[in-house]
Amino acid sequence: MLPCGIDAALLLAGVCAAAGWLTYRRLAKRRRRLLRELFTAAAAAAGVCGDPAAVLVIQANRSSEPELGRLIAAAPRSWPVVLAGPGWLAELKSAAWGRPVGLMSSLSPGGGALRDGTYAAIRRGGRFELVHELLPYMQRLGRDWSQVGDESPSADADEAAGRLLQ
Amino acid sequence: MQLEHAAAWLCDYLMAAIFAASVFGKIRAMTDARLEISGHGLLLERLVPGAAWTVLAGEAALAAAFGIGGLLEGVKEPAAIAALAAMSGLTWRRGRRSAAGPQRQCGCFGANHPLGRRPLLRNAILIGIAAAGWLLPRPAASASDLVVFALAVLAAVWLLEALKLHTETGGAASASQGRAWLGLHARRASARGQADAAVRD
Repeated sequence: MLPCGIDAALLLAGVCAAAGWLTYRRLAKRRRRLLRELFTAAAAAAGVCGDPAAVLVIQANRSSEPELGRLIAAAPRSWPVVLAGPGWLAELKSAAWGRPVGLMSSLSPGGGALRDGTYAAIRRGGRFELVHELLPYMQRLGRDWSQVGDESPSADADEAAGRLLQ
Repeated sequence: MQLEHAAAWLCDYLMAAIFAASVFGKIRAMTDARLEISGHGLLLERLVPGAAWTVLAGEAALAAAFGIGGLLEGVKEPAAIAALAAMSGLTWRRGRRSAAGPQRQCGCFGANHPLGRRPLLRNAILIGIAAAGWLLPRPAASASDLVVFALAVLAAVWLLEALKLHTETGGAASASQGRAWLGLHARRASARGQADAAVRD
């Protein structure tokens, strides 16, 4: 017990909890800011007007998966695609997937899983959810895209995605 | 304080912090948690959301049981061991099934990392800790002890989450530096897409 009547262990635990909370809040804010900037930059890259509902980030070594590639090509045009890999690969993938592909490479000089992972970043109100199980997630969404292809990939996909993302 | 009492509380503390952090991580990524359960291929698709919430509730109950002294005494440890053994079995099975596939990710404990031996080793260590805590005697905790314990568990959970966020965001990141580059490339890609469409038309 401290002279002021406060239990020393209680004080120490309280200080640790407050420090943990403040550290968490600071990093959560940084993550939110980075994702907000990623959404803005990726939307500009893809020529999407307004705030996109989701951004697809693809790691270079996953970009060659045929099933994932097929789903990315069929995904809503309002979902910008960003490649975490070299510029020449982004050029190739842009042609293969038939849509603009942004490049992550210099987004975050400090590195981190946001820059190097394969995931869908989904905006849910003021916060963001990352879905790392991208292939099953896209497959599940894709089941509801009744018409996909070069002619009208976005209308049905956007409608289905909007419903499923709720 | 006797050494074995301190060891028993340390075991409880570790288990409470691990399960609470898992609940926290899963709440932040419920879609991943549902897809993880669905990926095991053991449940019908319509049962998966309910199963995800059941797993979450079970982990929350275990975190509370370990965090509050005297709660579910003699039951929580075997329950935790059974839960960890089941998770290990499912992780091992999924690892074997996806060994040839390109996607080997594990969403265990609400964190995303490569599916390998690490989750199994970690679960084995946690099973050992739970078993040790089961065997060790402990005195009844006072109200102030419980408050200290709960605050310490919260501190651990927030610090673990902060560690995860630090891994995600890297060091001091400056996104604006890359935005110009991304935009430049994008304009090029967008222009090429329009040109391709024009050629097709």
